[in-house]
This record gives sequence, C-alpha cells and structure tokens, in this order.
Amino acid sequence: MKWLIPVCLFGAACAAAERFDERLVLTALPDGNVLGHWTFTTTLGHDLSHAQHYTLFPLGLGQTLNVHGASELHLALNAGQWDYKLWGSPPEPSVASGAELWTWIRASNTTQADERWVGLRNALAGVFCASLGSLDDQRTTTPALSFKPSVQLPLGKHQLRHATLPAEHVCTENLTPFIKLLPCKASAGLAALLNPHVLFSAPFHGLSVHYTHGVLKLAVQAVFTPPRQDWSLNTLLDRSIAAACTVASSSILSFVAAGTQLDPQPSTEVNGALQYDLASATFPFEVTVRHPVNTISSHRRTSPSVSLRRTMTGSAQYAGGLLVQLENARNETVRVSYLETLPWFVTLYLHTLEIRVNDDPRRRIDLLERLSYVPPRAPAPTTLEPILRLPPLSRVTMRFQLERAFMLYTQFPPDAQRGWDLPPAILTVLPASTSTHSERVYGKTLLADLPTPDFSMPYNVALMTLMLCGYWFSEVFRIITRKFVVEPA
Amino acid sequence: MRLPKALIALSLALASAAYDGPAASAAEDFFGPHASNHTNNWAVLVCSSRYWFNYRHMANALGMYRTVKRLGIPDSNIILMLADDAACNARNPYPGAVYANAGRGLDLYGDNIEVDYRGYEVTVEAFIRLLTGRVPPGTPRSKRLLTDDRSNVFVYLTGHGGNDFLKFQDNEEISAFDLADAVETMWQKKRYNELFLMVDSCQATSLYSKFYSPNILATASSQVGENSYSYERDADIGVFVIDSYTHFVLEFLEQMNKTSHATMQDLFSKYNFKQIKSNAGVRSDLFPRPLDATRLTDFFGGVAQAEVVDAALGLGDGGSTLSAPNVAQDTAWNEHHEEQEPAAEDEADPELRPEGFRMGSVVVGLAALAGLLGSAVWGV
Repeated sequence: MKWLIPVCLFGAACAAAERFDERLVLTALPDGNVLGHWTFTTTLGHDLSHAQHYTLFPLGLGQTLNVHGASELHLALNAGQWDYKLWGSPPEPSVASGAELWTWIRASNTTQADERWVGLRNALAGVFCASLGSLDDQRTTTPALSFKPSVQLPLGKHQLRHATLPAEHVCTENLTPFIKLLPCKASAGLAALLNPHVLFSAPFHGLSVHYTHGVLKLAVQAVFTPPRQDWSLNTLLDRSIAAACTVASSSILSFVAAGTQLDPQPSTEVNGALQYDLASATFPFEVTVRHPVNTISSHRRTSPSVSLRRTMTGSAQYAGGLLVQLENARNETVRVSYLETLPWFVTLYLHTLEIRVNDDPRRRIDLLERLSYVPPRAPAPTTLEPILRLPPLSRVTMRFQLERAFMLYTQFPPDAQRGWDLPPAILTVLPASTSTHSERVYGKTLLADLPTPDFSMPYNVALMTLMLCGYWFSEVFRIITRKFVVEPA
Repeated sequence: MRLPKALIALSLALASAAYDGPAASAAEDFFGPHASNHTNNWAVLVCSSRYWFNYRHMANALGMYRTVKRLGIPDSNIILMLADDAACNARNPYPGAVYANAGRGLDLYGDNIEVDYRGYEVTVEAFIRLLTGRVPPGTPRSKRLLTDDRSNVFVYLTGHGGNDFLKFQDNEEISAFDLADAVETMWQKKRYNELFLMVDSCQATSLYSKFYSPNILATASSQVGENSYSYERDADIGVFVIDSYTHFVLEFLEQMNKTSHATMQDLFSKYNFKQIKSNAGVRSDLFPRPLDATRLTDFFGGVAQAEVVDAALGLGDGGSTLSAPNVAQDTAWNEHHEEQEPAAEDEADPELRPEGFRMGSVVVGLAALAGLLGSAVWGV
C-alpha cells in the first residue's frame, strides 16, 4: 500500500491527468450521403477501481462499471442498415440494428460473473433508458472467438458476456442520457450538433459506448442525406456550434471530401482530411462545403474484404433452413470466424451442415477448420462458431436445417404475428498475423415466423366447454330432481 | 444550566413566532386550512397501447409528461411508460417528434426526454410491481417509484379500456380490482399521502369504481357504457393525434403555472359533454379534502424545496442585518414572489433554486434567531 501514498498525495496531479477529447469527422460517401462520426473520449489516466474523484469522467457510469466489475464494455444502439459495399467499413464496427452489449467482467467464477452481468445490464438500462434489462439468459452468450479484449485486461480472472436485442428502438430518450454523460452536454462543443430530429431521420444512425481500461469513448455515427449538393453544418444538421467546450483538451472538426471547397479555410490538412480546431475558431462556428461544377467528390472508403449474406429458407412455419453466403473479395485465402446465435425456440441441426464453394456441387467440409457449438438449453440460446477458410475470390455457402418450436401460449410477445427478430450473424476476419487487428462484419437481422396460434381460440374453447358442461349439468340436475306427476284429467 | 435555558428560550420563541406573530398568520393564509401536507410529488404516466395507429395514446401520455415537467416535477420523479415507440417509428414522417395537434405546433418529444419503461417492458406486471414497490432486485432507480407516506402521486393511464379493465399492449388487461388492490398495498406500505388517478379510455370510470383505500381522488374520461373519442387527426401524420378528454385537460392546464392556485374543482366544473364528447366522471368520496381547496399543483406540480440561506440564521456578522421588516412585508413579498416564479423550466432542479424559499423557512429562521438572542441574554 505504501506506493499508493505518493499517488494520492498528488491528487491534483491525478485530476490533471484526466482529459477529454472530442472529434467529428464528416466524410462524403460515394452515393452523395455524408457520414458523420462523433467521438468523445474521456481518459481517466488510471483504472476505475482507484479513488472515484472524477472531474470529467461521468460519475454515474464510472460507479456502475466499477461496482459490476466491467473491465471492458461495449454498448451499441443502432437503427437502419449499414451498407458495407457502398459505405465501406464503419468507423464503429458494431452496426447491427438494435442493441448490442458485450463486456469482459472481472469475476472469480461463473456465478459471480452472472450476478455482475445481471446488475450491469439493469444499471445500464437505467442509465441509457433502453430495455437492456431484457438481455436475459435467453439472449446472453459467451462466444469463444469473436470478441477478444481490445486492450490487455487488468489482472484477475475475466469472463465474457455478449447479448443482442435486435428489436430495440433507438430514439431521443437514448440520446438524452448519452449527452448528459458529456462534460459540456449539448450546449457547447461538437455535441451541440447532435440534433435528435436530424439524427433519427438519418438512414443509418447509431450510438455507442466503449470503456477500456480508464478510457471512455462515447461515439455517434450516422449517415446523413444532405438536402443539396452544397451543404453546410446548418443545412445538414440544423444546428451550429455556439461555443467551444472549454474543458476539452482537443476539439477537432475534420472533413474527408476530396475536391471540395470549404469556407472558412481549414487550419490544417492531415492525411487528406481538412481540419478545424475549435479552440481557435470564431463563434458561432459554421462551415460551408461547396463542390466545384461538374465534380463528384467522394471518398471511397475501404470495404471489408469479406461480405456476409444470410437468409431464411423454406415456406413452412415449423421447419425451414438457414442459408449463409460468405464472399471473399481478396485474392488470398482468408480465415474467418462466423458467429450464429439462435434463440432456444429455433433449433439448428448441426448434422445438416453443408458447405459448398461457388456453384460446385461438392461438399467442402474441409474448409471448416474448427467448430465451437453450444446447443440450446432453454432458455439459453444456441451458439455456433465455426472457423472457416475462405478460398481466394470465392463465395462459400453454408446451409443448415432448422426447426421452430411450438411455444406456450404465454411465451408469445404481444405482437406475435410480427415474428421474432433473430440476432445478427457476426463474421470476424481473423488476422493473418497477430499484429493486425481483427475486423467484424455484421449480417442483417432476420425475422423468424413461428407457428402462432389464434389468440382468441383459448377463450372460444373455454366458453364452449363451459357452456356444454353447464348444459349437461343442468339437464342431469333437472332429470334427477324433477318430480314427475300425472295430472288427473 | 446554560443549555436548558437556551432550549426554553428557543421553544418560547418558536411558540410565539408560530402562533402569535404576523408571519404565522401569513403562513397560515398562504398554506390554507386544507393545504396538502405532502413533501414530494411523483407522476406515473402510462400509455398502455402498442402499434402506430394508437399514436394518440402516446401523444396523450407525452402531453401529460410535458405538463407535469413544466409544472415542476423533475424527470427523476416521473415514471413514463410508453408501450410503443411512436417518435422513432418507421411510419413517422417526422422522426424524433410526437405532435398532439393537427397543425404540429408543439413537439412533445423534444430534445430532453427520459422514457423509463418502453416497448415490451410495459406490462400489467411491471405496472403493478412499480406501484407496489415489489420490483425485481437490481431494478435501476429510474424504474422505481420511490415514494413515501408524504408523497402525492399522480397516476395517468391511457389506452383502450372496457368495463372494469384497461388493455395493455393489446394483449393483456389490468382489471379495476387489480388496480384497487395495488393501491391498497401502496397505502398499507405507506407509499403515498394522496393519490390522484386520471384515466382516458373507453368506459374509464369503471377503472376507479373498485377503489377502497383512503386519500384517493379519481377522474376519468367516460362513463360505463360510453366511448371516449379522439380529438383530431393530422393529415401528414395520417392518424389521430390526441384524445378529446386529454386534449381538454391539457388545454386547461396550459393556462396554469407553478404558482397557480387553481383547484381541482375549477377543472372538474369545466367538464362538459360538448368539448369532451363523453361524460367525464369524478370520484371524491375517498378524498378527505374539499375539492375547491385542493390545488391542481398538489398533484401536477412539484414541491418547491425550502432552502434556508445562512444569512437568515444570523450566523456571523450578517445576523444584525436580519430584522422585523422581513416579517412586516411578508404578505407583499409573498405576492411579489409568486409573480417572480419562473413559469417554465426544462431542467427543474428544485434543490438548486433559491426561489423555492417559502414562508415556513422565514418563520423557522426568525424563531431560531430569537432563540439564539434569548440564550445569549439569559445565559450570561
């Protein structure tokens, strides 16, 4: 404990180490849309388990993460479909529609990890006004390969918990608490541009929260459609920045749009991105983006080398199949891990797995390098996690047979006819060497159509049965109690 | 012996200040003989209907949310339950906005909203657990009704109802008996001081007909056997945007501010078939106070916290500056103070607002000062 004393004596120095950086990157996309990516990074300088005297770090979130032992946490709330082909790799990898939460929990055993997971998801549900409390045993999995810690975890045993809620909506009530976690709220700095009405009209929008070892990153990414080819912050987002966030160590607004004219002149250019430093800007801050005549300017972003398509096959409600197509655009063999999570009421038959390459009818089970499979034990879901080797420039097709369960009357949600949203499939491109980072690609969420009863039927049956019983009883009662008398004529 | 003398002096000063002084009578006038003795306000606002075509029910609850927030109940004391997401619904032509009038004049969703229970979470079970406090362990603070026996609770329910029931999610029902028993549990667990229930649904009065617990005031949009109708539709949104009864109540409350003295009777006596399109009902037999002495702000508004500033206690040099003029002018100050009260604040944080200074604190402050002076004179 002695070494702690000098650290705590210089508490002021500790506080000074805390810093807040904000950044907004606006990128012109090939289809004319504009990608906005806000990042708000609070660096604590030490771990959460030390004294909780935060100046910039949000106290409520810090305490929640500390109490529930979350050493690393990633939460994403998205709406819309991210178009990998057109828009490239997203700056925040989690783009599955709905909610996704994964965390490495510090726990000595599974029981403790489960307890902490329950507490964490409920606390986060309260913080972000989302139904994260419903990420229960039906939805929680522990994939072995897809979610590695992004930085070295602190000492102690850790367990992974991952869950998705594909039907979750994202709206102003999620943005409100999100903004409240920022030191300047939405009154100054780049967060002033977060206009809920514009953000939630965007074809794709998502909020995400990342915590890794004393660093909290809050991010917003959205694809906006500018009203005209020439746009400004005000026409795109219907807001302008009134003042700089004075506690921010850096506040950078950056444009990635080749061949455009910006007004006012940007202060610096870094790797083709034109940057403004809000610390030296004049307020109210506004930038106009003009395109010279007859130039289409866009920045082609690198797309992931592997794409994923997943569809449900079969027309019956009871039985069906799952078709997964993985396409390798690279001219070399790529190793990927594919994660399929299916709720307990959709049973996957592993023996029906077929792997084929392109239009070749031969089965290529040899492409399967390793398979991790957790069968469903209601209410826990199925987790299927194969590692596949995708041949160069090929399309690999995986097929499974499925069966959907007949559920109990009370297990249906209120809008049962809508169907069930199945969690997204997640493809992780495994790095060739340990130096490069693995990349995740999310598939679309699917809607499973389950055998659904006519919900008025139980009432009909009950009423009919009761009516018949009543009629039978009254008739019997009448016969056995009535006294038959012959009246004299 | 110094301490008992000081105590006697203090109690004497308190007694004289509280019962004889001009401040006392002013305070009594201010609070009135039938004043509510609650110390905190809570609101539970429930829209129990799912699906886009029930947009108006979402708008009803959000209209009420905006009003109670405007009248001073902070977000932390409002439990908002919305069974579906109208604002970011794929069918909403105005994402992130919910309007309650045909011209789309006022966005009820705004920039600052906290929905505590949403979507599938809004169930009869969750609602009853919330009221009775029997929530599962680990439930966050924002999803708990942390009331006590000094809480005035406003419960607003809207959805599709029938005789003795209200539908949740178009799937299950809460019966009037369930609701009455839940409220009785609340009473036995000392979870409310007074409870005000407002229901906007068809046959809504049936929902309050089974209550048997004390201190309940209830009102509802329509009689048994009677429908409750929507008010108007917006052509661009494509659905009806608000119900007649809620529209009527919100219009009435729109004229109020935090310091309004309007009473429940003022609201109830304005009920008319022509505007509401149904016969709204009131049940007050369980409610001990006269309706014309029960202020609307007892339920729709938040209690302003008494903030006693150091100067009033006469600590240090500032003590000599406090003297009788404060008391002499108290009535005038009182009126002045009311005019000064800001009408609407989005971020209502009563603990940080010195405007919440009430007559009570003046009385206590003066009494304490007198006590200190007394002990100083007698103690030497």
